[in-house]
Amino acid sequence: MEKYDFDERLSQLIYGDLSPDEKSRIIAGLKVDGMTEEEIMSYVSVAGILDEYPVPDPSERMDRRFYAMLGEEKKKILLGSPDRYESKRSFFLSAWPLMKIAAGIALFILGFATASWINRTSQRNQNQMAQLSGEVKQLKETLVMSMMQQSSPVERIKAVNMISNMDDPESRVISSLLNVLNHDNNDNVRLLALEALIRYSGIKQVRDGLVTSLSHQTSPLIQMRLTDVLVALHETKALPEFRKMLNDESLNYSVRGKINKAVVILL
Amino acid sequence: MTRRILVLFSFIVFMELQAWCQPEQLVVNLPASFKTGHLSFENPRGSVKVTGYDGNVILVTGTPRYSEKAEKQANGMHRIADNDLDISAEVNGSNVMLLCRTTGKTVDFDIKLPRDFSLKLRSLDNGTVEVINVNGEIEAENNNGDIKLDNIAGSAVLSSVSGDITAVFRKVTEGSPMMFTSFEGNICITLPGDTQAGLRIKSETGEIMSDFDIKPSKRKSVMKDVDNKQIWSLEDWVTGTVNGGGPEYIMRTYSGKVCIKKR
Amino acid sequence: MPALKNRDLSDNELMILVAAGDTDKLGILYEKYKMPLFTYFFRLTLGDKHASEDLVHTVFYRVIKYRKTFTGTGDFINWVFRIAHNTGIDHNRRLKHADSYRNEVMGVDTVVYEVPDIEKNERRELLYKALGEMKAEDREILTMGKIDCLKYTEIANILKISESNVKIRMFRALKKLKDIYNNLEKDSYGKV
Repeated sequence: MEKYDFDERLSQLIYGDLSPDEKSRIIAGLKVDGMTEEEIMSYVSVAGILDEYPVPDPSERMDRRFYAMLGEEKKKILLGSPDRYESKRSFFLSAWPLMKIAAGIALFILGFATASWINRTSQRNQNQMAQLSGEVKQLKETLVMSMMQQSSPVERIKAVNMISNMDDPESRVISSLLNVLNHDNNDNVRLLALEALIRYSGIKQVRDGLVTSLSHQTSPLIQMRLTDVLVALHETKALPEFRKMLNDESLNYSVRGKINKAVVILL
Repeated sequence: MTRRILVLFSFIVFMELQAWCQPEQLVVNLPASFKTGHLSFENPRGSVKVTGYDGNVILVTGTPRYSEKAEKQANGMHRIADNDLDISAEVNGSNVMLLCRTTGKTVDFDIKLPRDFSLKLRSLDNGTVEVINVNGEIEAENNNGDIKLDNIAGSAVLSSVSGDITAVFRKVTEGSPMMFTSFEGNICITLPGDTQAGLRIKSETGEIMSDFDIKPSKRKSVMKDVDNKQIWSLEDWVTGTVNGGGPEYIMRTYSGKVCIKKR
Repeated sequence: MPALKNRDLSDNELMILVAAGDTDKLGILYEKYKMPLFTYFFRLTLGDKHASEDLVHTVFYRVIKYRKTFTGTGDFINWVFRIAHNTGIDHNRRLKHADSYRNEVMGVDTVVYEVPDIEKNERRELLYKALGEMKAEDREILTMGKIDCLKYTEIANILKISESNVKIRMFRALKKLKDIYNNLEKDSYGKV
């Protein structure tokens, strides 16, 4: 067995992300163990040479081939050619992990594969397109719902941002947003959910939700914004809750001022 | 006679004072294979200060802030020393949840932990939340006090009601949005000069300062009526981009100022 | 439908959308991974640019063909590099003799260096000769070690070995390379 069959220190020296100090310490240590400067440097220089061989840019041909292939595949999907990998279906369903989203995707792909095979009417292309975008939308929504469950507030913020960019979210997504507005343990995420909901204020579910949301809020920033929104929407249904808030002595002074004005406008 | 008793009495109080101001400590050993973790802690009353260092042990120290003198009742009675402070930790893999029972007293907590940690911190009353030298995602809320972050590599989601928010980042996580909100306080964030981000800022005072080259544009929130007609647009956020744009950093204060500094 | 903010989606999420039929999203993944994959094959084939382009294309062809087998439980980067790893093995099998392989590569198809530094060129020639004398799997692990987005964890995942094994194998491969290289160097000096 050779003396330096595997040396953690050498490995670190070559592949590790070390500071110059740490490097010299390791080199000193290796020398104490009997390694020569020459040997150490031969390792380092060989590893370094690997970096010196420049990799050229691939030709434009590579990109063209890829995008051509992508286009072909897209056409195949739209024309509903039977998928050779449908037999993988049972593999999905049995080997699946516990995440809810995974189950959702399995069902979704199953539905998609079945639907694309069955659908052979002359309206085929049009239906396929509608179905395709509808199902992609479904998938995005499922993704977003799972992100909303994450314990990291950054993930939940990303999810709310994604919803803000959706055109016509399903009622389950709206409910999820309202849930975040009323129950998220982070006030920042709640505020963001409120901003996202403002966009959908034309939906009755949202308007009703905003009214009932008042009683769930303690953060003055959220209370202020919510009040502005309800006044803009002329939601007189919010008046009883406004009065309740005015009766609460602990209400923030500035918020009190705003609600007083709101009550005047709505009456 | 009374005088001697009074002196003796004060002496006893003095001795017990020392005992009551003893800090309580908790040590949490992390496994050698530890790489990065998550710690959450909520202080019902008092400050939370977290400092990152090179090591494998979490050291928690709780120090009651006030002396017994302030709590002495009018008739000269005092409480006999008991264990006011109870800190414990629930460790689940690399997730650490610190719990404390402080029976209404103001206790300041000092936590030292390995640098690579994400945090979820809260002070409910009478304290500041401070984080120094940590790499990770920092989530912090403070009802009445300031939040201060220094030398952070990662991202933050911070909110305070009446306190100022100050955050200095030596590095930001690519692709991570951030959010800073305060009702009455100022928000001042320092970012690396090459940060690429979108900014969304609002302050009623309108004072937003920065030494970054921000391309601003006003943004409106459009609200729709039941028949999908646009009825109102709420006057709104100042939005802009820094170095071409990227994940969105949101800053919102009601009566405070906002400043964004280059590091 | 406004474009979904793609920078909000992770590689895994993008691939899941591709699996569901949104093939356009694969374009994003292609742009992100085409260079790391090209670099991987370029080094593995000892500088055969043409073959490397073909191999990258094969990888993405397989990504589309097998898109529905991507379950999202592992990281996309590991999955795509595993496909690359298997594709590389198939390529090597097709080339029958190690000798003819080396000659083929060091001949017409080798990239011509622009750098006029003769000493540097000679070093590189020797290096590639040495690499050619190594086993494909040793060459592969050295290559992977030099690709930025692949850390020990990813390599361990792709090759299905433990992280400590990755370190050991990488180190041993480097040692072998160093020994072969030193011998070749001595030989070439002798010839002068």
